[in-house]
Amino acid sequence: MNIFILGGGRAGYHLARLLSEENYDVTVIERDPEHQEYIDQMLNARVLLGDGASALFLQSIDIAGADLFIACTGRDETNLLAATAAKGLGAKQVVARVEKAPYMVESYMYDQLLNIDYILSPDALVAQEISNYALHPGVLISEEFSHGHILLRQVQVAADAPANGQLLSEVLQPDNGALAGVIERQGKVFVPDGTTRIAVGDKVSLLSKRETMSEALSKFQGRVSTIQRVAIMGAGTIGLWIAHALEKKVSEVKLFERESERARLVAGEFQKRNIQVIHRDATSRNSMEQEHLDSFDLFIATTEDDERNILAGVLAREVGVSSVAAVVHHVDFAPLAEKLGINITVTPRSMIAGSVLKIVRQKTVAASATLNEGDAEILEITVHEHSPLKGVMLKNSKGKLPARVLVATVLRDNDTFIPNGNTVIREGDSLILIATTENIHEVRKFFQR
Amino acid sequence: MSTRLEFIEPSQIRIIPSGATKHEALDILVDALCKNPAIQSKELFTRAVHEREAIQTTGLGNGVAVPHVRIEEVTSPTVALGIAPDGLDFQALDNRPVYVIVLFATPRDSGKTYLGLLAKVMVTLREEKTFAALASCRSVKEVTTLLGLD
Repeated sequence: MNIFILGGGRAGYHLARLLSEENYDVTVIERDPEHQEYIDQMLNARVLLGDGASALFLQSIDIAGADLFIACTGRDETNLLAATAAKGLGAKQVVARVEKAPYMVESYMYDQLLNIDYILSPDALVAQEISNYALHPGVLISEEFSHGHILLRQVQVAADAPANGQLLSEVLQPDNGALAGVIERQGKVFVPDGTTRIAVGDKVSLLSKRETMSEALSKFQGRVSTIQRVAIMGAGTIGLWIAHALEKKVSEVKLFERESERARLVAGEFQKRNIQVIHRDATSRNSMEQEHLDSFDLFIATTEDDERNILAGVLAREVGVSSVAAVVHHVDFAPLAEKLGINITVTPRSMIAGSVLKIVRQKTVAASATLNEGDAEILEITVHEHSPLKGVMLKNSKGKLPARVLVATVLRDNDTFIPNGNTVIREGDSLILIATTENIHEVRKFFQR
Repeated sequence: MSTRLEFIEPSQIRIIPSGATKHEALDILVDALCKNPAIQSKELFTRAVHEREAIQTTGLGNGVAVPHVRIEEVTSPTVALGIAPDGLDFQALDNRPVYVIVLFATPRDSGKTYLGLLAKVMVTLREEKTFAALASCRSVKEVTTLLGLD
């Protein structure tokens, strides 16, 4: 698969790294000669110097040969224009990244008007993730598989959770309809088995039938109290998306913005609602105390500046806010922020990479989700007539299924179940597989559509 | 009531039952649309709708979702309208429930004139009163009366 990425900035670089590590043919188009050289040295990707918004430049690099073209420079209009040009010149699938809300909210118009396959907004995805956390406290990731029959939820094991200290086999029996697919413990990701002992702080990815998910979740979560009072720092695109999402859902939102012009503009938008716009820098103990944040349930730091977000998050914890979420642009800062007591960090470029990986995977699998910065992957595949898995009993799957790949669930005739060793895979089955990064490439080879 | 939704085929309107999941709602609307001969392959159309949804939600905010696919197996643009009076968890970008679903199917190489129609629908849905009236319909009859389709 031939993939072109326009823009080697934060998002483009991260994408190029993930995709080139999976041995795709990746070409990065970058305007800045110094940055071009840097990417060239760091990544196993072709890097071209040029202006990707120029149709003639795109023609000169044979963009018609692209299976996928992803425009992710920092400028929305450049991305939309370049994606349209690439599509017109013959690229098979094109994606444009946008930041401005209207382009995203009206994307069903723009993608058809401009002939772009997917318009993606990392800011909207970040906001969705954080507001999801506010509305479902304790749940770090949520995804759906098998047309919504199977849910994926990642939770962090609390000290008072029933599962804490228990063997996995004692917590979840296979016939409960739920299983723990992947665990992240102290930065390491592994696929657990019945003998794994659950520890406090583990990030457990649960797969379950829709009906049994809340029961499974309750075993890994401690007591969770709902979030009613929320403070948001930064009225940028992300802050606004979150404020809109929480409007009417929580009892009080304070939105802090330090730039007066912006604060005034935003205040107009939220008039007469339960959202109070405060023109003030939230990064001081003083302002947090004066605004009574000690009685707040959640503080969300959403500015462009990672250091400010982390610092404000730590301060908010000190002042007494129950939990803290922070937008962290630099992936390396995320573990640090969590060590400092920030409950959830969300990285825009990981969000966009997650979407692009789904598009890439869609050539071979029905659905997918990437966990833990790409350390593990959940894939949904359909067993076709010529699949090597057809007719295989799972305990005899050696050689048919790559090592250390787990078949988590089977969807057959509209019924979903967790298979055991005696399960025989049939044509038409839809399987959810769990793989860690080292064998993902192998899995992909197995399941060409 | 004067709306700009007159072009919606009454046989392609559905009320989404309370408690339905997003995928069930999509299947209901896909079924409704597949009665139209413009959809030549139900299998490919269904797959395309769910695949797009898996990449990114088409619940783009303010209670409206616009699932839309462009595939070769559609001969002319057509639309199904779903009303979920009790709200639907669509994993929308703004995390709010979805009340109105506009499922659009279009040929891969169609002209853009139908986009004018889609835009008119969406502009209409931005009017709070129209949206509220439509979102609270509990029967197809109510919808067609409201939209002047009778």
